Amino acid sequence: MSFGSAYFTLPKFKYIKPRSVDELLNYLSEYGSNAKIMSGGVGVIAFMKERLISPDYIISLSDIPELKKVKNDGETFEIGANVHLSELEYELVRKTVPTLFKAVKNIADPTIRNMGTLVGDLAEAIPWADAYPALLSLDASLEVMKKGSSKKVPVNGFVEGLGQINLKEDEFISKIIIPVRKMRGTYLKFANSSEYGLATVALTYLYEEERFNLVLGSITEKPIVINNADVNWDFKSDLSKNIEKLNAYIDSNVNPVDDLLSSSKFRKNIIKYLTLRAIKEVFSYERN
Amino acid sequence: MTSNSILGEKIPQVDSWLKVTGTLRYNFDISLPDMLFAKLVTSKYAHAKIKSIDFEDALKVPGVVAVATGKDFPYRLGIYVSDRDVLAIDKVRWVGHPVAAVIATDIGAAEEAVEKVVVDYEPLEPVLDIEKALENDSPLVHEHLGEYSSFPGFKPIPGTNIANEFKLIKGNVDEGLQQSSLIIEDTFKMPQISHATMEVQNTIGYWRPDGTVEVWSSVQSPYATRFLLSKSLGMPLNKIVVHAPPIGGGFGLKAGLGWEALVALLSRKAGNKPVKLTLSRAEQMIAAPSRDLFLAKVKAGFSKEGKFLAYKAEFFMDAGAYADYTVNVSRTSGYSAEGAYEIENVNVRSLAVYTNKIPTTAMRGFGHPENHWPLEQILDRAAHELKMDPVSIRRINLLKPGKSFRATGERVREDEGDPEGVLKTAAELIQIEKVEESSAPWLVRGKGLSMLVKAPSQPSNAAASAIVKLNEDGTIDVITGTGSMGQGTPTGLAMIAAKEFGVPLENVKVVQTEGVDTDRNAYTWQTVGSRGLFSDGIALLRAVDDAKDQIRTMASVVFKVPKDDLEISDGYVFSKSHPWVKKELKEFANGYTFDDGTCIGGPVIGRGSYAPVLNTFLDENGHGSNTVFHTFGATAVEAEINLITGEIKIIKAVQVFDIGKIINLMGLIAQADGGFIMGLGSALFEEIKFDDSGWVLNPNLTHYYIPRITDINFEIKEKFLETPQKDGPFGARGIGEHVMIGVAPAIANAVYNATGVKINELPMNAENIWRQITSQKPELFYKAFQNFEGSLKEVTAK
Amino acid sequence: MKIEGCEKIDTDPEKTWMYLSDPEKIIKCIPGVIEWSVSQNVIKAKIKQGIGFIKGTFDIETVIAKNDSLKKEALLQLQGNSNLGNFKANITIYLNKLENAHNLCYAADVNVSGMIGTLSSSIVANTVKKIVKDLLNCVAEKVASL
Repeated sequence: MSFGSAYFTLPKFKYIKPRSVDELLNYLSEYGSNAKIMSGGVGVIAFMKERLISPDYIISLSDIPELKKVKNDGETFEIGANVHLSELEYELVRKTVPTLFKAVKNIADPTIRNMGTLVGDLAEAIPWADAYPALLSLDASLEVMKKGSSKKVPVNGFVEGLGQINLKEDEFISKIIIPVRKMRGTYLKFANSSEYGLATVALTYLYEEERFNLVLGSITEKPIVINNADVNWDFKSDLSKNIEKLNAYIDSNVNPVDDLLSSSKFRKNIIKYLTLRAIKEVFSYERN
Repeated sequence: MTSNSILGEKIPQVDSWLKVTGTLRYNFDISLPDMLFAKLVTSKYAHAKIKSIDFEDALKVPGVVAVATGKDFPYRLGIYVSDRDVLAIDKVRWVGHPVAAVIATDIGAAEEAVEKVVVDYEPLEPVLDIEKALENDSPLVHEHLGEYSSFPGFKPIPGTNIANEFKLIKGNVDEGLQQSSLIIEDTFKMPQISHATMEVQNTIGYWRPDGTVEVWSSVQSPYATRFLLSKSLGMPLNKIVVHAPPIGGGFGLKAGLGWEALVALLSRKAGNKPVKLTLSRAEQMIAAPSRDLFLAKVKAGFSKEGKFLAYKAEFFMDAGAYADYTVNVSRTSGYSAEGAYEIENVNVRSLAVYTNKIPTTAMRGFGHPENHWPLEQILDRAAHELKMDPVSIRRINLLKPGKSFRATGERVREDEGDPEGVLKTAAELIQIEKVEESSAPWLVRGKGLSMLVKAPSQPSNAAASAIVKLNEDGTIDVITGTGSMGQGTPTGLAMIAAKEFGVPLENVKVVQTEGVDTDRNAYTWQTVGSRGLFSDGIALLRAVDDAKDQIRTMASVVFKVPKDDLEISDGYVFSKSHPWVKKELKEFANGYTFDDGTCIGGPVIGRGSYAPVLNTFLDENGHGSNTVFHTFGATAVEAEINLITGEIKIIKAVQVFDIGKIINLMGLIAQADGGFIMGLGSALFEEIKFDDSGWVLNPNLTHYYIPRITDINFEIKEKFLETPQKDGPFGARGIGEHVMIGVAPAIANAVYNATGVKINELPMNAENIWRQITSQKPELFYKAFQNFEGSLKEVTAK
Repeated sequence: MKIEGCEKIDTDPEKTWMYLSDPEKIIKCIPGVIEWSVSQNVIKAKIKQGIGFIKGTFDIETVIAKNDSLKKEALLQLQGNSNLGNFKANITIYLNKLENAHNLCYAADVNVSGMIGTLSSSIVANTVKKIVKDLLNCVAEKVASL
């Protein structure tokens, strides 16, 4: 979210650095309604600078070691809340969760990625963010913790709209969980004349299960998820026939918005183009 | 050993090491004891009466020292027309117009207090559109326009929104159009753009208890700033000092008077303590000036052989709420409208028009990015219609040095440059005849070229001066007035001095490398217009001659030889006829001391002065002789257009300039590359967006997109021709602005040549290009999409 | 942009309209009010509002240009300024009789500027509709308990 800050200073706040998750949850239960969690701070500080939020407390995750963990046991790929985006830019991630790898590569720029986190990008809850569409296409879940309990929720439905997340004031997301399956995936972002993408596409194809999730982002307030069943995709038939069905589905069901970044018509054109590019990339025979 | 070799060498700039180590001090880094901080309260309305300003609660914030409003400072400011107030008095004229200023001991207190200032407005109808502003019943931005003072040559029209009107008439354009076989008529537009300097405007003002004023500011032309302060505050020049540290980007934004008058007056109000105002990026893009919005209605006539017979142009510059330099930008754009060509009949009317939007000011190119935008595209379109190639149609119309006259009546000098050579070189480097293949059928490649030419736009008496001092050890201090904004002038001046004395470069210090100080430097009119090395260079050469004369006078006595027998080079003074009779330069630096202790002469201080020769004003038909040099150049590109998305990708770029003499080669290359990149920004991405209440929608670098390093993934080839300018320093001309002028038209020509799509409006971002493709050549788009879908057929699901 | 909508109300239309016409009562149903004052037909208020967790402090002035309690029609002119942006709205409010209930309808002509102006009109409209829905639900509750 960016309009332009006239301010050099931040609104006043108290900075708290818990050493463990338990300590963090205690603080949340006490200050939750007036607190924001900060990892790299890329989102929080920027929002505060523009006076979009003014928390009395900022609770930092940087001293909690278990939130920095990345775990891959072959079944699930888990990313802690304080894992910086640049830490995900390596070969194993590219091989196991290619959609995520490419999405991360498209977020902002390398310096921001050294500070920003996936959870942070998700929690910014802006229509043009990259984490949410990518995680939707990967059937990801979130571990949500609060004092005394922990639960696992699907990422689908976490972002309800601009500035609206499905998270209570005393809860926080401790990690992102992505089921590991044999997949091919890609993430494409069309940005022109702005840092933000005016259209994004996340495509994850689980080739052994003959299933795919296509997520269209940045064109509407919430991403649009299209899976193979929605368009009656026939994995046995000609690609061109399937594309026709997909195009027809997009034509009737996808209505992009007009905003500062783009007009609705141009967005529609680009989303169709990106979708085809994504299909081409992911369904090409040489891919392994 | 001759040191002629230093000129044209590719060496690091004299300030590079200071910059990369973070040693160089910008105004942003400067803070003074007891310094207070100022913050602006700005208008939320594009046009409104100020009914009242209540700052009682603001004063209660701990740390707040005072709050100033317009009524405290009844002074008028303005570089050409005094249409500007220090803080809004009675009326606000744009969203962002400073209405009050809070002064506090720390910036946090100031920011807190700004929120507590309550301004009561009575909204008035704003005029936000340039064509509306010209209508008879338009709201007036400046009802008292008739009462403003103005610089000679600029005439605002009271009772209208016209800040200045300029006319240029040559021959009879209606007859010329009648005789033409081909007429091209169209309307062109360029939006407001931001200078996007890395260092925002920031200024410290100190109204000292003795009534003198001291200012530290990020400004390009401290002598102009001092002069304007003197005029607006009614103070003599010797009671004002302006310190101008090196600046982190100027590009015209910081060319004249910025916030200096305001902070000086705030300092007085705050009990004579220094006050610093630093704008945030958002404030920079809302409260401070941008480049004008440009609207051009043109009609061009050609013979069937391609001769440019007539050019009728109406230029409308949307100057915003105060016109600052824009009155001159529109005048300059008018008198240079014909560019590098000789056109038989010319009629140009160029207007600077007020609207209730952010004010505007000079920007790199000063009206030439504007006037070249329609001109250079018309040539390509005419070439296409007449079945000629873009190079031939230009060649037959180029100005001929020594023979042609410009539409202003000014002769084109014999030594003005080699425009034909520039054109030929650019065409060859981009291989303009070779059609390139694109990598996919929905992509298409095209090449485009733009000629360009510009002279410094300066008054007929824009002077420069220089002082050369020898230190006791023979090292040399060079002092001129041109500020340091990354344009390479200090290095060029150092090279000239080193060459002239025959000493290594490190023996020369150009003192303004680390800032210009009106008390301690030598006067130059302004650091603008690509005039720095030319004007200061000439003054420097004269100062060097003067210094050498002083040395010769002493050496003649010491060596007992006539003065004209003496040579100074390689750090020595020696007799030409008896070269073994020599002494080191340093022995004469501070006067010469004999063995018996007696001394002759004194410290060597060379001085040089320069002012343009035989320049005149322009009369009411735009006629006169008002330039000192013109630099010809050409920009060419090879571009790839995605016919589905409208994206333009630059494959190769070429920058060619007839620089006269290559002095600072590394600086020239950096200018050519940097200027291309800056031009790329305004060509492809940049646009200040307004809503219909006059608010800027993108006052940030997220949505006001300037090129990033990832966008520069192509090669830029630079070539500098050397047709010496007789009166230039070693034959050199200026280049600082020329590097940006041709970029947008070259790219637009590439698109036109590849697709036949005409581009009239900037920026050429993906959506805009897509709209033009789908409306002008929809078949190209559909075919491309079909091809793209077809390419998926090779792919099978596994 | 035009933002329109209707909410079905089960409560007594007379009581509902009277409740809506009383600034002191309506204010209780607007979340985020920091301070407010009413003078003749002009209501001034400082309200902390926004979209989701993005909140700004709005200075709002509402002029009740017309309130016909017989026909159940009203015309409001709103102006709001905040660091999030500004808006100007002319809103017509009217009551429509349904079979067993009433529809409280509004039709607003809205102009936004500043940051809000960078968002899509659907985001703005959705936010407005949510605020209106919550407001009317609150009013319905309060009226029902009278």
